[in-house]
Amino acid sequence: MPDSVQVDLWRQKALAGTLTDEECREVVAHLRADRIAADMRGKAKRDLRGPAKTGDELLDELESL
Amino acid sequence: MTSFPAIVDSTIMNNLRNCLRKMQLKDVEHWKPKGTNVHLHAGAAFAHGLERARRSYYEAQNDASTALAHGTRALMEAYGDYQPPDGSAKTLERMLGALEFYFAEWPLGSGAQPHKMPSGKYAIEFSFAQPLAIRHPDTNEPIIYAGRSDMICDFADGVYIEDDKTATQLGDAWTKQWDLRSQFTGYCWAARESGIKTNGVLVRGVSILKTKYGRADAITYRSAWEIDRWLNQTIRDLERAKTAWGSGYWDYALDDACNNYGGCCFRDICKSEKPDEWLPMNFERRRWDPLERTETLLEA
Repeated sequence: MPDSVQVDLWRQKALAGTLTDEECREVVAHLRADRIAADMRGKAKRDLRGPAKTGDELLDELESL
Repeated sequence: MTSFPAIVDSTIMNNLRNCLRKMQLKDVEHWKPKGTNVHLHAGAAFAHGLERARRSYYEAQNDASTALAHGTRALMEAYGDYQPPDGSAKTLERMLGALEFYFAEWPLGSGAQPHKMPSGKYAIEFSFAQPLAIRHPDTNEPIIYAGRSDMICDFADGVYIEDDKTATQLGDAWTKQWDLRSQFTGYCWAARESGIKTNGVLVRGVSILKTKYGRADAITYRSAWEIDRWLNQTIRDLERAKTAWGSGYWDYALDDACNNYGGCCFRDICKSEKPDEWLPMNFERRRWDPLERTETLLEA
């Protein structure tokens, strides 16, 4: 996520009426990159966990203990 | 200044239907909780961003990247210097991220497109103010029903009202809650009064959490008889409010309405034997204008 100092700079420029279209595109590019990175982190976590075990598989695991 | 509303909207009607006493406090005497509600403030800023992006793309014919840049700036301007409560997910950063997410999920130029009105204008932010067949108790003028939907759109060979919602949680319950929602029936009625035939309402939901976003879509339909029933019921409900105004006594709900959705903001007031002494401590008087969509601070 863009750090709060950067966001605040953008905010102040927007409120002063000095935030250009190019800077706004930069804001969007940062946000898009963050979203994609978060999606990839989420997918990686799900892949590590693997598919959910069935009830039978869990019972077999319990019995083998 | 205490006055019976000359203009009502879906929020005032919801207050009326939940609890007449709540309507009296909020919409007749104009008591509102002190401070800014983060959900309302962030939601309004988000709506500004959506509107600006759509106008930039469809009206000004800018490309999608420029349009989103314009929407992003508009959101920042509308959010302003507001600092949300600690722990809130609706910070400026998260709302900006939500706007980028929205147009990634529902890209400009595809799917539902703004409907072109007979005037040639695109129906972005469809505002309306229509007279009802019920008279104001003091002025005797027709009470006005006002509102604003985010868009009227062409979608799947039909014409739909479109409304965007921000939420903390989406799911089956979110999708199913719209079928009888008065706000949307009112939109369909207003469109009909404006000469626009609509098939129903397309609702888009974006959930904004601290680490992720989510989306949901729902379509809800309104038949002509449902719209007629809504109109009749709205007038009947306003008659009840007029009776309360005339008698000086506004009925209390004293039931689930007091506790739903996090609890009514006047719960502590209604627990007090002397509410007038407590109101100025945590509330201030601000009058909401449904047409101008502004709030004006009043004297206590």
